[in-house]
Amino acid sequence: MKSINLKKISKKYTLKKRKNLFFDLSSSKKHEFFALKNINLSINQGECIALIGANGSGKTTLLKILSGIVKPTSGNIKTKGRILSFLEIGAGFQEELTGRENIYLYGSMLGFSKKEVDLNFNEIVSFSSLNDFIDIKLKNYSSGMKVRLAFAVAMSHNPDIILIDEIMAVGDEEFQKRSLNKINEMKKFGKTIVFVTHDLNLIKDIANKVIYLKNGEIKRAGVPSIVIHSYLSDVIELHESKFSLNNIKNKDKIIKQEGLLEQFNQKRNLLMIQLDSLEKTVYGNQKKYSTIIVNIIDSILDLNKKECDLVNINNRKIELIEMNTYLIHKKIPYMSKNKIFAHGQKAKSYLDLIQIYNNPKKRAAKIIDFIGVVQMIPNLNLTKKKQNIKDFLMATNKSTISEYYYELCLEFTLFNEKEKNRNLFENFKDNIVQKFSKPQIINFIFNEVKDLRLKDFDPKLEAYIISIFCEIIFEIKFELNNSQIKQLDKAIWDMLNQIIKKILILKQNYILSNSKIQLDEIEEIIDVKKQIINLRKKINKSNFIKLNNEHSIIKNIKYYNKNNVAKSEFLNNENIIIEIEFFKIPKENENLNLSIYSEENYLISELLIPIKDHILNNKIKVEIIENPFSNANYFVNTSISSKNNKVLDSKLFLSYFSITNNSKNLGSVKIKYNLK
Amino acid sequence: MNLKKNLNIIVQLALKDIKIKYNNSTFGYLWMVINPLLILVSLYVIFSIIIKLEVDHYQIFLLLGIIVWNFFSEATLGSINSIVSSMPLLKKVNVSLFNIILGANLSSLISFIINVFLLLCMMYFFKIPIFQPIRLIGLFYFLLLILIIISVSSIICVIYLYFKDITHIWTFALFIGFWITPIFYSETSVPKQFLSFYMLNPLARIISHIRNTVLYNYIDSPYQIMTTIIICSSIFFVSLFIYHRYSKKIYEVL
Repeated sequence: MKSINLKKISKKYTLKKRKNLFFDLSSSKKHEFFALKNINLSINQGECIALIGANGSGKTTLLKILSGIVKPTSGNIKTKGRILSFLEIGAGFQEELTGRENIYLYGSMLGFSKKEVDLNFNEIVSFSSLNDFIDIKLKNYSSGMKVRLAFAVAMSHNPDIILIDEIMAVGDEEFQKRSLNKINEMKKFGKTIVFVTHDLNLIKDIANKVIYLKNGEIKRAGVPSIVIHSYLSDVIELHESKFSLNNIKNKDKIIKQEGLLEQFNQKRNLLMIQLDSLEKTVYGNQKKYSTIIVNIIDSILDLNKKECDLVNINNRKIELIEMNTYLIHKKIPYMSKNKIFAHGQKAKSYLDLIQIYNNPKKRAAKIIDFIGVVQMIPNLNLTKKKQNIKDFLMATNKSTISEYYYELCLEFTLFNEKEKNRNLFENFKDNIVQKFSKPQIINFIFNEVKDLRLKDFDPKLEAYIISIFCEIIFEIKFELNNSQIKQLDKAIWDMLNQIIKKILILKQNYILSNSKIQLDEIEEIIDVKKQIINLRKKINKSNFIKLNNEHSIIKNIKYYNKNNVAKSEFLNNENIIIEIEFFKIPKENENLNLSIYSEENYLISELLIPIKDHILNNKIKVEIIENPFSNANYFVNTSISSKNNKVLDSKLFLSYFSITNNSKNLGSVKIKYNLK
Repeated sequence: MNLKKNLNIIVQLALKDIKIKYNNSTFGYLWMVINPLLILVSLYVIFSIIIKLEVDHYQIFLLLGIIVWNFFSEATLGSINSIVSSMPLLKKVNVSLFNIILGANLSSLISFIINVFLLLCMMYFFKIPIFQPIRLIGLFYFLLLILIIISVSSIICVIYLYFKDITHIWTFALFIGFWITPIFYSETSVPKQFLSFYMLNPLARIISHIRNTVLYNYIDSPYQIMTTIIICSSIFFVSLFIYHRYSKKIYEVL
């Protein structure tokens, strides 16, 4: 049964601009403004509808039309039952009158007779808990009290349709709870509620249906999660919202799947995958589950009519590695790590990227060019391709870097300018150690390193400096006690991880910057990476990490094909079995984090497996089904983390497999790990 | 049902106006009585002792005119002020403009009634017989007066929606009107050429009718009464038309 029915409602306002104060007659320009355009809406009895939209999109106008205050310019409305509207806190409240007097006045506005108000008077007073204040003038009330009073008066009525405009924001926790309860009660009694809110969490608590208004038109109406999604993607970048899609009720969950992407239809790209929770790959029902996911994705995409690549969310990343060139042509906005990289014109360079990626020779060359990054960093007026590190340092904000670090960097600059020969690294290191006494270095490492925000910094520089630290640490480690070693270890890991992340991000930035790549420089940089990796290995071997010998350690990673033959090269579309061997059976509650990276350090897929459930003979097997990879090397990184995400062991960038032919179909990575 | 509801709103609005006006002062509602009392008494004193005119019972003559005129000007100006102060109500709650106008008129009516009561006391004091049946025809004129006031208030309020200057214009009009209406002089003083135009002013007619009936115990000719009725009704119908036609756009214009 329809409670509200709107047909082709439009509302036009003629605005006059005031020219001057004397003659306001015809000198003013008339300006037509359509607050609502062609709204068609029907609401059934008992539904709770939320209206969302940017400011100025027509929400309040729509409510005013529904409540009869404003007549539409065209179209007609049919409403059934008594309408109660709350368009402003205490609209109609007279400040000079007391609460009691206002109850009667307000009551009459709403259509009650005096007797009716008399009957409900006590109930109103107690619901709003204004017992002592009821005979005090309203101008002495707080705004929360006014809302409570207004709400109490209105609720004592028995409206059939309730219209609320953003007033739930005011009121303390207790009152909000009470009003929510009251609204839920109203819902049970079958009252229709339409409310405007900017609090998206409120919507998920009480709304059945959400309508998103944009510029006076209904852009999207329907299930909360989808409409909210549409709203958020229009207004801001999704991940910037405080609202977490994670909390949507079960039936409205968008996608919950980790490490599993379904095959894309060529026309569509996934807008977003929320990866916080999750359930493992559902094995037995995979087909069914995956069809469900595909359907959900399809419907979201249809609704959004957007084509974009995947987005990173929080710590669990899925970045789409292999782009469908068809999609590139469509100028997709690529979002990664909170930045839109390729959009519109930049998509062309993305296209270049793909072409290069598909060419094996060029692929090796096209990895990272740190130097080019400088051009992308704002606030630096460096236009030359080869940066002058010193200038660069000068230009960055000194206050964000600690003194020591800055001086160290200066040292390095000098070094860099004089000697490009890396054999003199040792000397440089000695200089450092001499110049800054060991306690200072230790101190610095402990206190500063973990807090360093090296955002604006040249990662190559950073990498060098870190490597210096690592070297130094090797020398001084015997002077540290256990806890200091632990801390140090953590600090270094953090820094290394930061650098690697930065490498990922900045590289992406760079790739779209159109500067040319110098092969030498690339080699240098690859060297840096290798250095870091070697350092890690060293640190590993030197027992820095293994303080606690009781946790599990990864021994080896091997690859097999489906016939159980050990291989390191595979073909596209083959099944690849990855076997991770441990030194011993691990402790309870440890997780294995397996991630597959492309050569360019794109993260392709990531899994988190609780070790205990899947280990067999000290080994865990994971199978990539019908791999979609094309001709390249793929690193398999593994690490073990404890229950509270503390990294216990890690084998990064040390193991890889290769694919020897090109793939024709791009698709998702399907990983099966329940092989017990 | 609708009427009852509207009546309730009107009463509440009138009460609200009165409360707001008198709430803060120490004597509060007493001022509703004291104020007119003081005015009537002082005017009475002035015209008894300081200025003496040749009209019989001039004081009552004058005061009658004054309270009627006050009622008219207070009600009309008050309705505009009421709209201004009830702007939030109009914009947010479903209250019709007519209710607000009537509410303002009602509060003026209340003070008018108090004035009349005081005047009657005074008349009793001066041994002018009040309760003769003829004088009760004054009640009929009273109804006409209310009709005029409601009509003029509506017209002015609707004009106000479009043309805010009407406040100032009307203030001036009332000022001039005070002199044109036979309040402190009798209509017989007006030269004969202008008399017919002069008497088109409905308030002039009403005041003279009331005076004749109440003071001089004299019923005007039916011809005169009919003319008054025609003038008042036509103004009323004009106001209805204007209200109906032009008040819908209230929300864009306010």
